[in-house]
Amino acid sequence: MPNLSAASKGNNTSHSIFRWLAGVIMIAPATLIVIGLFLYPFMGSLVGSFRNESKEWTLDNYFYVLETYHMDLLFTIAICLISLVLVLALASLLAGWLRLKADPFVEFLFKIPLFVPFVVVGHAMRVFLAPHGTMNSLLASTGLFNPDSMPGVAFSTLGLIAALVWKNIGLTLLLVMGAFRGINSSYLEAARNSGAGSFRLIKDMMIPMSWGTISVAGILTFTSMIGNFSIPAMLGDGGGSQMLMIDLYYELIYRQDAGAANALGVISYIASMGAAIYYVKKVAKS
Amino acid sequence: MSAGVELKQAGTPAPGFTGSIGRMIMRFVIYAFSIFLIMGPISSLIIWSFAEKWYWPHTLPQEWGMKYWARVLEGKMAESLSLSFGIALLVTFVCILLCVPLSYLIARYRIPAKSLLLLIFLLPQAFPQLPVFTNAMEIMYRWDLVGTLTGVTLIHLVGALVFSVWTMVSVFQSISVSLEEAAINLGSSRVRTFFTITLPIALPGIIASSLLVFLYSLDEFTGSLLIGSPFITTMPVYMYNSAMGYEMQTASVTGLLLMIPGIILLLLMQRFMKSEYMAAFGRG
Amino acid sequence: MDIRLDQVSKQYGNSSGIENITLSLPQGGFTAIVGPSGCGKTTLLRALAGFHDIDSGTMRFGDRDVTKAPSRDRGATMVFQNYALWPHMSVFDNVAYGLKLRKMSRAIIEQKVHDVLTRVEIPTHDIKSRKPQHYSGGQQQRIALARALVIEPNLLLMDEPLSNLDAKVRSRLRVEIRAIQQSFGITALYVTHDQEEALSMADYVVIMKDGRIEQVGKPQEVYYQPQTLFAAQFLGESHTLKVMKDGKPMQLVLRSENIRLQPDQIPAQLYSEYPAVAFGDGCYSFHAEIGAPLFIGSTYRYMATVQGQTFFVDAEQLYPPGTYLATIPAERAYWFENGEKADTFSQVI
Repeated sequence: MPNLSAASKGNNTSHSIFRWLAGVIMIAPATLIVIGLFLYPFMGSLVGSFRNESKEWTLDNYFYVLETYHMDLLFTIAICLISLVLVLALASLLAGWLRLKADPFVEFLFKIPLFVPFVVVGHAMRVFLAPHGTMNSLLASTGLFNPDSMPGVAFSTLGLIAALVWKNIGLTLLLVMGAFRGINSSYLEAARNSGAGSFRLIKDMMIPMSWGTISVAGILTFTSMIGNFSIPAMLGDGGGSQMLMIDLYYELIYRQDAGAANALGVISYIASMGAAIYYVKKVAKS
Repeated sequence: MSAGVELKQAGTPAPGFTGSIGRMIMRFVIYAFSIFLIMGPISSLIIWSFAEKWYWPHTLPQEWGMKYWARVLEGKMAESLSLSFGIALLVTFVCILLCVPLSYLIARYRIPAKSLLLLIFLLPQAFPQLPVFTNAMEIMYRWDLVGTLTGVTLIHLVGALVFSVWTMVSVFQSISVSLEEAAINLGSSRVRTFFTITLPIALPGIIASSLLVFLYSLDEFTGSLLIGSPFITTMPVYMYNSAMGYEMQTASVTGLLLMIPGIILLLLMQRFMKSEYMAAFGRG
Repeated sequence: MDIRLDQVSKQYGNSSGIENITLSLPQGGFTAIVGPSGCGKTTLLRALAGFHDIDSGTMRFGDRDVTKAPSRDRGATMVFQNYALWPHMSVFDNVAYGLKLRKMSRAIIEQKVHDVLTRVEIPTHDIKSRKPQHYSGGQQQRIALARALVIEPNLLLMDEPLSNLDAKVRSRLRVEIRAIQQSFGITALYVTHDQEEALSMADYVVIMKDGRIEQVGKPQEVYYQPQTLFAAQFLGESHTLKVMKDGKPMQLVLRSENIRLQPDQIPAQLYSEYPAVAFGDGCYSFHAEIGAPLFIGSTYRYMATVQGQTFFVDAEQLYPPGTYLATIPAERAYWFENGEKADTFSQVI
């Protein structure tokens, strides 16, 4: 017996070096790409936001950005909150209805936005909602509306909200429906049995029972909306307030002010803290 | 019995009749609403892609035709199309190569600083890409990678790696350890066990994850716009440029082409659509 | 109010549908449906609750036809196997939910909730702060009972309410549920796969199989006078033997506790393919080989073999293995010919 353990020990050291090496080879490439092209530039934007062009430490970038873009910041948060509320309400009602009456057609339909790229959503909303877009043409053709007095919402706030809601409904519905489907039928039957109608089943039972999932869906959707660039890039060039990511792009590409762009970036990180906390908690749990 | 019950017994109409009519109306309203909401914007794209001449206030185009679709096969758009598919294939291949062993390691082994590693692969999902990619662009300038195929592939890889690590870890975690233990117990080596037991069981999940990575790369816009321009024009960037230039038909044709792979994927993998896989698709 | 079902059918893709169920539940009675899984007992219960439509037939609550009424209009409340107490609501809110939907005043709701919880012996001082999952299984099921009873339903439906509980709690709750049902004077329908539960709690027992009713009667009736082969086989520790009687092959259903053993040296004679049964002194008898005893608590259980067919005999005495004469009192032997009840008792007399 002692012989055996000694032999295996000697074997083990070379074996463990080999295993260690194999582990590094497996982990390193992917990790280095993510560190080099995400974490390092992420830190770079944090540092860059506190520096001016001559690399001196300063808070000027933030003063400039807050002075110039405070309305845009409020506008961005308002747009995202409104879109979020609409997405969550629509997803909850739909998921509730689908939980009660399984309908593969409607379910399939609402999964489509998940796989339509953001830029395409932006463009589709543009041609759909523009002053002379498809929807207004359709409404005008009914003869009930005067085509010239109808609002074109594409380049305004409503178009932005419509596109954000449209793109995000797929994922939110998927998440919420997963939670609703996880609810044991007997809870719902007991409520129906007590006298609750379909709407009350959703409002009193499904939503409160799935509150955790709904808030996670809300946080993820909100940060995705804040950080979204493609949709406002397609829709939001009509003057007035802009989304934060457009301001950032403008500062970098047209004003070549990296410090201001980074300050805007850091502000968008702060707005995304909810999602970051969620992911840190997720790692802590596993 | 109580008054409450008496009340219910008194004078009830034929409930089944009104009930089923109500249900039918409800279903009809939901169908109409859903179709309008989802298909409305998409149908606009379809109409635009076939419109050769369309002036306000005509409800439908005056002249229909395949002219703009025919352009797909020639010139710039075809170039972008093949470029996008090439990059997406490359990204998918690299992802499978790097992420299958890495994800298996994360799912099964105790490795030092595992939480840190998990965070490295999770946090990119939490933060907006644009401000990070603008700084990545600066780094890439230093290495002369901006405007090159390598640069665009690398920037796609950042998001794709993060996405595929998470989906593949969950695929491997869903396979019971006892299946591997049974093989090792019978004398199989760890490597052999992985290739003969684990990999075949994980294969459907790996394929699903890879298809989604392919789609992610095909649809990626922010990184491609920053790193690719002006020499590398992927499909989404091509579409953005034509839409900005008010080339409605060209943009619509490109948009529809970009949608097709996604719809095919959706039809193929309805049953693989677990929400945890999809969370990364809410980014852009 | 009597509950009446007439020719009720509900077909499912799988085997758990129901066919032509005609049944009446008398006012204030406790009826238990018992049967193997997939016999349609839960389908019947859920049809009464209004959780799914039926294909044909009618259901009447008193004078009212409720066949197509939605669940919430029926006043038929359900107690579920897993309690189905809403985890996001306090105990008070759980019980009060149905009353709130009926738009009762707050004071009346408070009063009714406290009354009903007191009657099911749940302390009411902390019901507004405690969630149901902080109570024991037995208490949760009593809260569920209170939630079902508080709206003063026409019919109380219970779907295997005790099967998630451990044996001790279960046997106590049987008595309690029965007492609560009687004190409320409510008509109750109780589904279970546990025959002991059905027999001990119910006024009437319904035995179901393959979506049909096999037999309905008082517990003693269905136990001692089974009318179908299945009813005889299903209740008690029953065994079916194929035997020759009066020169005819017949099925004899006997229950382990009714068999008496007499030591007998004569080995069983082989007459034909089935063993022969003799009659005398109001008893049927045949020879059987008895194996080693198993101690099962209050009695011993013996595996007995007769011409390749096996059955159990329960006896308080300890017998060595060997050949015995097994006898059964005639009124405890149930005879069937090709699955149909054979009225042999009259022949015997």
